[in-house]
Amino acid sequence: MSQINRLKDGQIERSETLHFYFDGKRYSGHPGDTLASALLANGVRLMGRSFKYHRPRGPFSSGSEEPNALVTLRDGARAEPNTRATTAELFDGLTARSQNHVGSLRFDMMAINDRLARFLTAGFYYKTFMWPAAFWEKLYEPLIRRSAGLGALSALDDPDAYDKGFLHCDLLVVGAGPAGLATALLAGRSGAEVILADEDFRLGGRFNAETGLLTEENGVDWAARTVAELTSMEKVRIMPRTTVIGAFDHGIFGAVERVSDHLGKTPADRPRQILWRIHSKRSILAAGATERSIAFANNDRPGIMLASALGAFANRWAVTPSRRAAIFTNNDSGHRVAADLLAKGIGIAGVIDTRDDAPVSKDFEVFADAQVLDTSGRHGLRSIKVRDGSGKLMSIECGALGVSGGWNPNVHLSCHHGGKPVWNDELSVFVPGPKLPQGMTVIGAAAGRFSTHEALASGVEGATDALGSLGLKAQAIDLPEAEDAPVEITPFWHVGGDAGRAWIDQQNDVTVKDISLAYQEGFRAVEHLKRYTTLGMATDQGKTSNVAGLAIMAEIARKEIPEVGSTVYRPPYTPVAIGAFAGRARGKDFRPTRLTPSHDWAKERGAVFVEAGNWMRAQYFPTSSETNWRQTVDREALAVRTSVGVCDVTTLGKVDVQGSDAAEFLNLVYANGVLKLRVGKTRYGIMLREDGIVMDDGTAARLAETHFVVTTTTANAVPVYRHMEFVRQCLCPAMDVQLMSTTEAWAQFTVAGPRSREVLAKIVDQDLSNGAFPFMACANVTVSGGLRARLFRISFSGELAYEIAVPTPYGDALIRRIMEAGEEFQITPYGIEALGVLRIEKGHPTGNELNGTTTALNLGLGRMVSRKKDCIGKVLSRREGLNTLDALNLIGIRPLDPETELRAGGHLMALGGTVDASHDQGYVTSACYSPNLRSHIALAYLKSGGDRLGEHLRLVSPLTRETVEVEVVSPHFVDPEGSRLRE
Amino acid sequence: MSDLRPRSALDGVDDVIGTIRLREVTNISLVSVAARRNSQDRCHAWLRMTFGAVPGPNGSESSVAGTALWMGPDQWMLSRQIGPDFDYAGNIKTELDEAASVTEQTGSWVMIEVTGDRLADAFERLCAIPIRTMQPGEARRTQINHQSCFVVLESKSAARILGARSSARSLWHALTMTARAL
Repeated sequence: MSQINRLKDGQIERSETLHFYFDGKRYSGHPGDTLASALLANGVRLMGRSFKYHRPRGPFSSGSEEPNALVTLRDGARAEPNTRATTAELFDGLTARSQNHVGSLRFDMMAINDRLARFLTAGFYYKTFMWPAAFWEKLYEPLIRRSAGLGALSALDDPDAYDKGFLHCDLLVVGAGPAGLATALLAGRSGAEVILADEDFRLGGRFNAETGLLTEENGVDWAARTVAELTSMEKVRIMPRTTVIGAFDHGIFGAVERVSDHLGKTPADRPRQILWRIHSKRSILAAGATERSIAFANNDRPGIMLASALGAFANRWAVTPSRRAAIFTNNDSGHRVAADLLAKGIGIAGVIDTRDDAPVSKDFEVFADAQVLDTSGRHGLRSIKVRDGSGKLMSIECGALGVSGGWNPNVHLSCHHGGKPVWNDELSVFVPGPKLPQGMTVIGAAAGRFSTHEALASGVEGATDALGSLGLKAQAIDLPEAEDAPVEITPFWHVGGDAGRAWIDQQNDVTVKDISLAYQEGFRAVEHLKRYTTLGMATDQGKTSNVAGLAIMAEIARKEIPEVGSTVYRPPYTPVAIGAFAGRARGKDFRPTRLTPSHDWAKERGAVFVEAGNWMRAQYFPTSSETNWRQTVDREALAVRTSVGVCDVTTLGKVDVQGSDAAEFLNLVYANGVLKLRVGKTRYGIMLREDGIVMDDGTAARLAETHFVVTTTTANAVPVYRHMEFVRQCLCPAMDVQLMSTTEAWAQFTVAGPRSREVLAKIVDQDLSNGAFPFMACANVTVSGGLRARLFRISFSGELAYEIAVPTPYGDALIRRIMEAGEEFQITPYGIEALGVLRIEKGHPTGNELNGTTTALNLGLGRMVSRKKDCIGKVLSRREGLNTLDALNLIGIRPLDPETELRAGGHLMALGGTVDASHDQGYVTSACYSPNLRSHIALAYLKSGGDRLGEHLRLVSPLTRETVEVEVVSPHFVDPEGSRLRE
Repeated sequence: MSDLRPRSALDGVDDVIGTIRLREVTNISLVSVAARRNSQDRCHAWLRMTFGAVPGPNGSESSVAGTALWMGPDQWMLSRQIGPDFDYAGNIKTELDEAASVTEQTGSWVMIEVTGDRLADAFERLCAIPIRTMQPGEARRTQINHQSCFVVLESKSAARILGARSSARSLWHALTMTARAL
């Protein structure tokens, strides 16, 4: 089909033809077209079906406020549902599908819903489908969901990339219409760093859509000239295709730039869109205004649209839904559109004006004090039914009807900080209220200054004000002569009578009757009205419907509009792809990965890795003969107890604590005493939270009088450091203490087992004999002929063990050196699974036991909370509730049958009696198979557990339905005297 | 001298992607210095003597002795182009003695140099620093790809990033993705 409804002129490049597909049919258009304009050019008015009633719909607007012409753009994984045809920029090969129909768009079988409209009023699902109850989930809801709704997701991974970015400017100008351009021009000439963002791909705003706005030149030309000058300014950044979606704290705005949507396919490696965070010192909201409609029966047929859209399609895109159009208006702008259409060669069937003093025209017939009562045309407008001022009814044939009920300032961004717009009675509009986001000024039509002269002038005022606050002197600019017509409007929201349904919110199929029903049923508060009827809750957020809905509610309630109030404006201004919010942080890039210094070495050895926070840690090191992980872990754990093993423990948090008050500081932070720890010694310690619960455990090593190294668990490395900084800065600011995280600075390895000393003796340059370097010793040493290192004789496994640390660049070399040195002892690298087995065998707590609810008493470490000194959490650790006689104690359990597996999370119950929460006696925190004991074992918290060794209990798991009879034993399964680690 | 050989976080990778060159700066030693109580004046004097001035917030100072970067109130990160074999921290500690708490940082960080005419475009996609209005020598602590980093602007077309060594490969991945996306 040729472009039968293409008019003359317009801002399209006719020299190039683009081909595109809508519902599989091939059409043509030109660069500069949107999908909507190109379809209209090809004579296509029907573009979709409505949400609930499956009514035929076409474009209602020409911009981002569009409620009706929603399509699924592109195919396959790139298919994006609910895309507005009015903003989708045409490209060659574009494919689009209409939505929400069964069968073809033209013959939608679900259109039966429209016949059932009387049963499908607002909130019908609150009152029907009540029984049988079981049918709701399985029958009713799926049925309703299938018959209603818009587009569907492809359910495929989005193949495109999205970036995030950060911009800074003196002045952000939102909107590049007349007001925004004037502001940007003045600010740019005055030397400010300016960002000018506009959602459209062509800057100029209403200059592109209307004629006669400037008296001495074409507005399009002025806009183009201004944009060209702005483009040449180094400090001005022009961002077309960029929607500012929200105003946030401290002058920060969110904006989505559509980088390559208009290219069809995103070039490799380039983002499809960028979500910008714009930091502005000042902002100017020049978002313009959206025309509002008038509700009348069957006002939703394809071909009926906002008058401004009809004008924009004709002026900018040189298209029309029909060669014969009518206008229904209550203000002068409808008349201007009629004149524009006439100039484009479109026949004007008449201008129906609700005002009795409507201006007359010599070029077209004006019906004053008249109303459009109804329309006809199954798939598109054919005629309108009009009642003139004398009460005479007539039918007027036309294929397009432009409706103008006045203009609503686009106040959205001005309200994102909770500000409410205020009603301006003179203009009959909501304008921005006094509470604006920090640094924002609203200008032009967005502020209710509707004439072009006013828009330009307010742009200059806004820029001058902003520049003044930025300390810049405003340069003079010459503004073009512009029309300055006053707003001539008589509010008129809907045509009365009972002719049929009159749509307010076309996207959610909300009618005047629905609002009336909501009122009858008591949903009168504006937020209740919104939720009961779903008015304004669709993807367009009610840009063309909210104010009319409020006005009609006010009329029904016999109130003034300000009394009804307005709903809350929230970001985003227009829908944003979830991918834009995610940016690059998806899949494997969801978060950064931390690698240990021995990672590459471990990988070479075939280690299996596991995520521990952001760390990738070696879980175990399988050999070729091992067929399951248990074999590997058993071998590794046995090797440590019988010979020697090595494990990378770099991930443990490390904090250097220095200063003349370092000891006093740690004495406060740790529950146990640190003050008298001798230089060269290490002490195990626990830290409490302020509420007395254990925060973390670890060691403090005193390397010098004023220098400690504190270790934390891997998981708590950051929280403990943050806690210590809080204590330092806020609780003890007078102390001379400095903290520095050194977790990453040192590659640290545990060398554990009876042969560990022999291995390290080959590497460490100093004497490691038990006398020279006893249990809990620490020292700065050197390794392999002089490299600085730190050595700690501490043990998590319960064996003779050391932790040796070198500057991280040497970590890879050191692990290889340790393996060489341990070869004769069959040194075994072990991962965190074996580490877990070894520590459970010793009853050492870790994150499973330090679970945020446990006290030192629970852990059997109650005596570590020193009574001789103060510490953080000391007072609240003595709360009665934390010190009851039946408090939980950490104990060990063994199954009567050693081969029976125990599971962490199971609960301990008496052998007989009821199994429920009220009979709960404790729970298992950690469980494993102990190859040394040849039995499954576990650590658990048990009420009064310390006094119940030898008792038999049931371990039950309601989840796995397992029940195991267990014996309560000491948590120290291996070497309870601790003699091995002192040898 | 030890026969253990150091390994940099990214094995000295050096790559040009489009107009952006990314290079790991190797053989760089780092140490953090925090003035102790009543020793601020002495530390400031030492910094002035060594680097020419005391770096203030968001600042750095460079001299033949290296670069000093402001990290916090009376805290600085010092860097020097010298391999990790050299005990830089020990050296500084000897000079400042009990006037400052000195901590070796060489192994904590990876340093990546970013150069190219589109440096500002790249950083606008990476982090929230005002790259276009920053002056050479200015520094910022910021977040890149969820990682805490320092960015030191060397010129309008060159900057150095200090990021955590353990996540150096993730940082590199983020930088290369951004360079390709420009």
